[in-house]
Amino acid sequence: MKKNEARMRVTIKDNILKIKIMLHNLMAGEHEAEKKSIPPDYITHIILRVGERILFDFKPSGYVSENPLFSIRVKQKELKEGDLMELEWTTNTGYKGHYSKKIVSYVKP
Amino acid sequence: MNRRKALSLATLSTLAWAITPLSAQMWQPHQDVSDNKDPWKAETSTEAIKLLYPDKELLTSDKIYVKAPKLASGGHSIPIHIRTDIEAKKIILLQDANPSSLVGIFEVPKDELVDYSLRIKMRQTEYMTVLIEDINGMLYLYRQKIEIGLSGGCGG
Repeated sequence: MKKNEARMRVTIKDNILKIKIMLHNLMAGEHEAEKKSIPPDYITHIILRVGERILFDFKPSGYVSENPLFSIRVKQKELKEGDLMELEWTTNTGYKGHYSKKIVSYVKP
Repeated sequence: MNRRKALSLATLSTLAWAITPLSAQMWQPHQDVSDNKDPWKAETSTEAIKLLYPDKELLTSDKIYVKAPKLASGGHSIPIHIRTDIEAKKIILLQDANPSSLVGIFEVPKDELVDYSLRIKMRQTEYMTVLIEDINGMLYLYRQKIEIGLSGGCGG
């Protein structure tokens, strides 16, 4: 994995998981790449899971902003502090990225 | 009936016979007018929806909560927040400002919340569309116009 390619923050509060995901990618689709004279480079699939449970499944195009930032909320159910979340993504070039992060409890600032 | 009249009638009937099957083929309902069959390459949201769901009725619902700016200072990063109480299977985000319409497809896992935030790109003032497919296959549509300002990123 490249350095600082992905960042994720997962907190539990009131039986709801708040997840923030940031991926480092140009998100330059075919039209934008042609305009900038660069090869197209964008994420085509993002999936977030804990074990067998899928929490987030998104197929973006090149019209999501550069360095995409997602914020999602999911039900806690059987998830608990310390569980490992695994983020996987694929780009149009065939590159597959992987990042994992443990769930932590919400700490009031 | 003289010879000239008979000949013109015969020509007309031949032409009608030749044209009828062609015109029937040309004007079939829900036929894709362009050669483009890939929804990811559709130029408008209407065309993309037609390619994704050819014969479905589009409904509206007061259970769709979308938060997006009416006026964005720049088109490179427009925040969109989608939330719904509908038991969704798929959420499709579209816009009409860029050369291709489809922004992304959220596959909603079974019995999960729909609460997504992301940032999208829009070149010009146009409509942003959220299409929700529920678990029964019904389609719900939400549209909002987003104006893109010319002041740039700082908003000043």
